[in-house]
Amino acid sequence: MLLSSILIVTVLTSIMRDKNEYKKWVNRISLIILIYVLLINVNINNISDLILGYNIYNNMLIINNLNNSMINIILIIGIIYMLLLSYNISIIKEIDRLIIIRKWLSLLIIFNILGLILLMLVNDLILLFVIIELQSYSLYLITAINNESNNSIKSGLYYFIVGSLGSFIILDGTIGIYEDIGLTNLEYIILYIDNINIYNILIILFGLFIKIGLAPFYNYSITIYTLSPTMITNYISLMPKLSILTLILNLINIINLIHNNINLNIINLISLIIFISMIIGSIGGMNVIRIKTLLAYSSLLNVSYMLLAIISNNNYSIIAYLFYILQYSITHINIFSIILLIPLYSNLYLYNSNNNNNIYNVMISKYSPIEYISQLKLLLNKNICLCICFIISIFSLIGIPPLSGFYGKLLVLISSLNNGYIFLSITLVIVSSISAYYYGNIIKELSFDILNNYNIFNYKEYNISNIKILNKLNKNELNKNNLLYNMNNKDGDNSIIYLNNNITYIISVLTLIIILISLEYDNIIGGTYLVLLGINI
Amino acid sequence: MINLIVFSTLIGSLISGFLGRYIGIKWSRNIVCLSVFISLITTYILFISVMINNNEYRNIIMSWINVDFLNIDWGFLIDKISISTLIPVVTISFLVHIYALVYMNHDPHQQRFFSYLSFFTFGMILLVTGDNFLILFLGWELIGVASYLLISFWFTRISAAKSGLNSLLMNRFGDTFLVIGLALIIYLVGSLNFDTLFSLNAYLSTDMLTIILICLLLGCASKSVQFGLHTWLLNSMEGPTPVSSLLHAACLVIAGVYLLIRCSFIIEYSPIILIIILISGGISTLVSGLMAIASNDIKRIIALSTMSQVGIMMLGIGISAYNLALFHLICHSFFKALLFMSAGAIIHAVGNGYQDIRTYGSFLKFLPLTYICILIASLSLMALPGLTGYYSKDIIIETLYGSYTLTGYIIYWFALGSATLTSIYSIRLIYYLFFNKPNNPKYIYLHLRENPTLMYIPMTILALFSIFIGYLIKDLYLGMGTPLYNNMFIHPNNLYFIDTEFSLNTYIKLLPLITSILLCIILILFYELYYNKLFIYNSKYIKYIYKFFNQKFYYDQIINNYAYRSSLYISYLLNTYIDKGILIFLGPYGLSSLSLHLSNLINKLVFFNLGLIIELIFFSLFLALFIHSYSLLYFFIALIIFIFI
Repeated sequence: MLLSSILIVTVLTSIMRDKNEYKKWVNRISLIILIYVLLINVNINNISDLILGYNIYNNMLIINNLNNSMINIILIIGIIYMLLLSYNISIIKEIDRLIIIRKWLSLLIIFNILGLILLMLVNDLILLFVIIELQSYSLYLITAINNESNNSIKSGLYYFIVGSLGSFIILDGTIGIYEDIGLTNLEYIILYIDNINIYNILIILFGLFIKIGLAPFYNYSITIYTLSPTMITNYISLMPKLSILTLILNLINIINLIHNNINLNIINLISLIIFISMIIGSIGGMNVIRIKTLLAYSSLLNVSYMLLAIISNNNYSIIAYLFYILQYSITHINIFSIILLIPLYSNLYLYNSNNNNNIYNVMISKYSPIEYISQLKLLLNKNICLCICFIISIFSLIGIPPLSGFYGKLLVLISSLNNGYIFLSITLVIVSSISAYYYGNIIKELSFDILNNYNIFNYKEYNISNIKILNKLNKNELNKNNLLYNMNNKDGDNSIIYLNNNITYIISVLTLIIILISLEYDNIIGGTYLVLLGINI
Repeated sequence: MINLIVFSTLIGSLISGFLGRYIGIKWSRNIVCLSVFISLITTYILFISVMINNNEYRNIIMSWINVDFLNIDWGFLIDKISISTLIPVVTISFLVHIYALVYMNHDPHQQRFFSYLSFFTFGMILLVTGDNFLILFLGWELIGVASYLLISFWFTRISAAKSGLNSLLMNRFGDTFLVIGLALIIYLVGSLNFDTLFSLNAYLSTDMLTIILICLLLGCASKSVQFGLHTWLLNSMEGPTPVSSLLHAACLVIAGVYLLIRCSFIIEYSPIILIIILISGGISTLVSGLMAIASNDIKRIIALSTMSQVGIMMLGIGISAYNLALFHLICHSFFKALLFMSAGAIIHAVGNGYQDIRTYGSFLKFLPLTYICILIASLSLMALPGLTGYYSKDIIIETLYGSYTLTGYIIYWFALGSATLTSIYSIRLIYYLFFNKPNNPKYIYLHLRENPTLMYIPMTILALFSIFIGYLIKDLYLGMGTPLYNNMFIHPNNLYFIDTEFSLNTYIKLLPLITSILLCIILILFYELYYNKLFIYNSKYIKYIYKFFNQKFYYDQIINNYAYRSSLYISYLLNTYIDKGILIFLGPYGLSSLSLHLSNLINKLVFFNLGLIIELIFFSLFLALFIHSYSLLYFFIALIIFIFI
């Protein structure tokens, strides 16, 4: 289905005129495709059928419950992302154009989702390499899609170089295994697992770690997440991790079949990597002033939590992994969609607090209009509901009890403690308290600067200048009535901007899921336990 | 029912404190008084059940601390000691609440006052009824805090705030040692339950017990104003009179005595502590008497007499006559509360705020009811036959002689002197208040009249108590078969009451009475006929002695100059160089700056250049190959290099 849909979208894209409305149409079609794929998957594969898992394509791929549920999660996240792409975010098109997209973005995303889904199903090392290339190349292209932006090109190039290094290392490991026993299929490798040099699997794992940017190889990921446009960062900082972490989970399950000291050594080594990632992910973000850099560190941190759940290899670990990845994706998407909305409220100018008359330009790229954490200050006065949603998401990242992040961390802690990783558990606690500092910094910027906000942004002037900018953008298309309304409003409520129903609906639903997850917590855990029944025979 | 005793006052306090501004003055007063009244009724019901019917109650609400072998429950124990202590506490607390209705009538912050008062009662009840040392300690701390709040209730006056701080500081000094004592008990027996510790008493090392008891004794000495830690008592007379009457007659000062009576099981196995208690009690009872005869503040005199009587209770503990100490504790509470209340009535009636007895005089015609109350209380305090004080006080002094030990004999003379001094300052107080020449302005006398009737109801009740209660419950506490022996332990070697009963001469028994009556008569004669002999500033030598006593042995000055200043200096140094110096540098500041520095480094690394990143990746690959080849040693070396790049 996905393959055929790619064809359709390719044809559509090539005949489409380069205009915003048409792009939206293409995106909506790909949205429909994704929803349809999800429906088909849900209808075909159910838990009772997949208890043992079955092989497809000549034993190249294997589907079991874990893979299946992760396919669903990836498709759902993809649908949410596509929803963001396919609708306007406000009623003013000129502002909407701030989030610039290319018309072939949706095509690339469908390619990439295909790659991500197949990557989790991999049962053969050759196919692993092929699919990881499929996934990676589409990611490089997505990263570099705004090719007129310097930063975007730069980050795409970084990603390409480092990602190809990772692929090279994976290939190295594959060669090593093939050299030892002459087999590439994972099921056969498991049979001869004691004969091969297990460090080759470790090298494959290292390659995967490079792909998701864990600690010793984290540098490039921070850079590209910071430099690429916000809309793209939203995608590339979340989606690859979902599938690659699942692949790592499968590989570690294989490693755990070995019963000797080598196994222990490997787990120790991965623990060390987790430890370093935790420390860097927490300390690195402390004096960061760019919001996307901060979120990149935060994602590094969260990936290391998930990896901790993965290596602990007991019944809880799968539950913890699935729950954590689900709630993290929701929180992540929520935060990024709010960040996407903030430029609507922001002036393209910032006022100097010392000298109110002196207005000067601050570098704000149109690809990522919200660059610095201090720009979030606007939100509280402009749209308090959005601000509250943002704060709730960050609370969830910190792990405040009734929110979803708390349960995720709790499950990770339980799974690691069940396996006796006391040192890593203590590190997790310390690190999450350190990371609470930089999350708290965002909350401080958001909410505790009311008076300061009030003085800096003199509303009347602010509105007038905003109108000037709007005029500059496009005089004809502005709605006159709205402008008049704005002039009369002394409070300076920037009400000319109404949010689109679509994005508000997404944000509110995601926030409600974050808040009310405790209601359905038992059911979620029960569901993940069913998944667990299928894979741990 | 136990829950009702303990928590009804807390509920009243919370309602008055938090909802006071919504329910208004009248209702908050009513609710607080009602809550204490409920506590009172249940206490009396339990008193009959426990003392007459020999029941014993233990109420464990829930588990509090459960670590290893240490189990501490929220448990309450009502046995004979706690119910006997509870009787004066709750009775006087209730009467003081009623008294305060009038006394604090014109105060704008009554809800707060009644909330504090009731909270104090809660703390005291918690202290008395707890079945382990931790609950006791909780109550101990609560009354410390509540007494601070009550003493500095009129906090806009600088002296009130200062004396509140003084009281808190002194009590904290004792509490520190109490905590150390509790820790040692945990170290020794692994539990804080009374039963566990007391049932092991004979098997524990005497030295260890002595150390524990010294710590407990220091805690008790600061609460129960023994000489050396007594300064807060005199300063705390700044608080409102109902507060003084509650704190310094019935509750705060007897907390220490209660703890020592409770610890009778272990005190008996440590003879050194008995002697220490005896000596400290003897010294403080005599010294406070000497201070009192030269003091001029009406409430301060009464406070010093409290100190003297608590000293006598300590004497009772020191000669292992715990039932005597407990009996004196009960009786003393009633007439001392009456004395405080009468003093408050006079202050309230005069209304100019002066508390110096030299400014009063000739109040007999104006305040007859108050005179009667103060006379009854004073006579009871002087231990005139038939009144309450006679039964409780003289028997302790006799037992000192009847113990036939050297220490007991010496302390007997101390106690005798104290008893004599008691009658001297009581007579002096009465004479100055009621019979002296009128020394106040005429305006005061024109407007001087008795207080509202409601104020005299608790005083009347207490007057009846201080006449009759000693006679009524004498046999219950002093008799040979008193049920109290079930809950306290007297080592057979220290059992003196048979000797006291049958071997003493009659004149020894009557000596305190004779001396006090004799000196009273002499004093009255001097006041009436030879007053010029009392112009002490004319005499060269008596002047200095008078100054010495009047300035309370210069103890405040000594403790200020030598203890407070040096300890303040030390704490200044600690604050500057340890708390705000090393600890801040290594702790919050250092950690935060270190982590920020690290964060800077990491971020520099991230945004450095592409070459470094590729280099790092290859480095990591080599790192993997290192492990591939040999041991972890290489790996750690590589890691260290990696960190320092």
